[in-house]
Amino acid sequence: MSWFLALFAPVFGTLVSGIDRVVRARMQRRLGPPLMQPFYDMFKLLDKRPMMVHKLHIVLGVMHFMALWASIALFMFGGHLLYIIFTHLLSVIFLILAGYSVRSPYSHLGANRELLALFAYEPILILMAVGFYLTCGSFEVSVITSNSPAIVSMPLMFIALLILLPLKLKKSPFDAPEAHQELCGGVEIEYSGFFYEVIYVSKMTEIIFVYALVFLFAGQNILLGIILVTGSFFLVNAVDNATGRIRIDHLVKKVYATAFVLALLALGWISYV
Amino acid sequence: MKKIETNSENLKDDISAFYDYKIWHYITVNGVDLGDKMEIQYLFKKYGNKEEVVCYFLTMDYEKEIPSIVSIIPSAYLGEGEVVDMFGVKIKEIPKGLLLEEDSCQAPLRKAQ
Amino acid sequence: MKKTINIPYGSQHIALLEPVRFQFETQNEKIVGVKADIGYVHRGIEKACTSTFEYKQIPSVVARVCGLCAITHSLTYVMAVEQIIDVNVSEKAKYLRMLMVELDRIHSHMLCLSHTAENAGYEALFMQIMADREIIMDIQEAISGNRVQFDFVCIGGVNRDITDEIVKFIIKSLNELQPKIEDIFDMFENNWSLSLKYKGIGAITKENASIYNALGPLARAAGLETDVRAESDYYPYEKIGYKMILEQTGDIYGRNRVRLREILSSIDMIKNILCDIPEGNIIEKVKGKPNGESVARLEAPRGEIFYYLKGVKQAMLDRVRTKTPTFSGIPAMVEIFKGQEYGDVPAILASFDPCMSCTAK
Repeated sequence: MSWFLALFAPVFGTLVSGIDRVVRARMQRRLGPPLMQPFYDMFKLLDKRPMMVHKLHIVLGVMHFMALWASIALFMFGGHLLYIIFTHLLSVIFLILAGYSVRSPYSHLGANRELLALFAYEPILILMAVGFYLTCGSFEVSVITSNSPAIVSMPLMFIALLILLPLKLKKSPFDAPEAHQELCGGVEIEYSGFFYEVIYVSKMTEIIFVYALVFLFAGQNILLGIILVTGSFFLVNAVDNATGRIRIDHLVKKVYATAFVLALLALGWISYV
Repeated sequence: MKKIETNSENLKDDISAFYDYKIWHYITVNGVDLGDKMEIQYLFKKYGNKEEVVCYFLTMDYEKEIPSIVSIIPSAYLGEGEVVDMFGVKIKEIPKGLLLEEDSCQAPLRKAQ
Repeated sequence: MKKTINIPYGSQHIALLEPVRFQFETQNEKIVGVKADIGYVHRGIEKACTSTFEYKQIPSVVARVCGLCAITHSLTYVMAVEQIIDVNVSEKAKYLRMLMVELDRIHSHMLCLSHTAENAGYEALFMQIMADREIIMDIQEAISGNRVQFDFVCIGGVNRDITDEIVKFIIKSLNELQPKIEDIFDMFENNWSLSLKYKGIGAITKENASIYNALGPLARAAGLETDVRAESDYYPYEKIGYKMILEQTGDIYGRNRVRLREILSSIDMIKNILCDIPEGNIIEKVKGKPNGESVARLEAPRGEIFYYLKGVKQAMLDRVRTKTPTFSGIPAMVEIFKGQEYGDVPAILASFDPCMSCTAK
């Protein structure tokens, strides 16, 4: 089961992305693309002529995907939560380095913004891991998922994670790092053809990573997990359709003012209540 | 349209004596080819008023150079640039190439060509 | 090491509707220098008007300068040419022309608002406004036969009359539109993310607006009282309840407010126009050849549009000069960009409502 989930995480991610596009379109009174559109996009990208800026750029892109996939695999096999978060951090850093390694100004600005966004959300993910340790007594995902639901003892931490969801999924109001009207996609702009495919698949894999974190809050209760994931999925799409994009400096301020404070409060709650 | 004549020597003095950005709305610079020489017009309109458009104009030979009024009206560089491109006249400190590229036909509105 | 980043914005860019190139010089994301290149879509319309087409054909030619501004271009040309030939336009034709200009203003403002929302990252609002805009497009189709680029105006009057059914249809549609506009107004006023994106961003002072000759909503949002509808008495705008709409903030938020309030005021004006359209012919016979010089100004949705004509008693005009609102607005736009964050550029640019096909002609 773990093998299956880990191996096919990109495929599931793509499917979720397809559902996401239909849901968002319906919310905007549009028909939307067919459910399988992200898969068609994938096959289309394979046909395109690949263009390479330089080898390091491509290598960093591939390493981004591999590290991300590794963090998902660690998650599915019930590994150490801090390892998972830091492997994920490593993957984002590969992407940022790839952004800096080319000379396109869009790519540079995108990498700048990605880095700022990383500073905004990474402390909260680590605080969340600490919260799980305090409630379940272990960093191991297998232990956390066999305990009672963590959302009961740290609801504020869950709200903090909900605030991070649009940031990680690159949705309004926190989609400044890729902001297609400003940066045309930011760090991904210089990839093309098969090499963009790698970045595209890792975007899809990221979706699974994010919703896996949401699922973690349900502990052993799988039904509750499904409810949480579905609920947050619709919430993220509703927020995406009700807000514009805020600027990167606002983004960092707002995330620290809300999610970071909530995460700290949640830790205090666990320690003293 | 009320027309007031001026010439290339007095142009800057006349315009700066006349133009006050709080009262006058600068419309545009216009060029008209008279067949043997050029007429350059500077068009203004009073804010919030139903009076007619005021036009300062000067006539010049094709090859002569006239001063630019950008120092008085900062936004005039576009109107002057268009006249330079379309008629191939020379205006001080206004480069060619606002609308036309180097390899396109030059001075398309000039009659002599 | 180089301290600034040069960001090319255009000539092809996702957030641009038409080709224009801005070259931004930024320190991190703060803009310190701007250069604009506007000549990507020059088609030589002025040359065509004086070398290929006779003066009676030109209303249809200048209508093709730009799809959105079709009515204002042909109408301003017609106003200019009617001054130098012998023709009297009936009151009814004037009312019908005013009707079309105000409808054009509503749909153009809605287009601009939707793009301002989209470029601020708010796709859902973009879809909503574009869907509501269909109501106006349907009205325009009912009156002129075309959704965009209509040749409604001709020298001496207008080409099509309106019937009682159309009047009823217009009033019904406008009543439908009004609450929708108020919804959108509410969204622009109260949405949290849009207020971060719009309030205080891309501001210009009244002083600078008049130094750089800003026009239309751009100037009125800064409090500069410039509106051709108030500065000419060719059309009876006072009679149908025209009021100048001013805001003082000068930022994107102010420009959006000006546009939204102008839409509401245009809806009222259209209802008044429909109430008191006088009887009469819609078109007069045109005789003679144009002789002499004339100018005409009209308030297009984006600001003042200006035509200069010179005729020498021939069927072909001697000179046609078009000055479009965006062309005059460029210096003010370049001025506003300095000191802004690069992340705000798309929204600021969309809030100017630039029309590049008009600018380059």
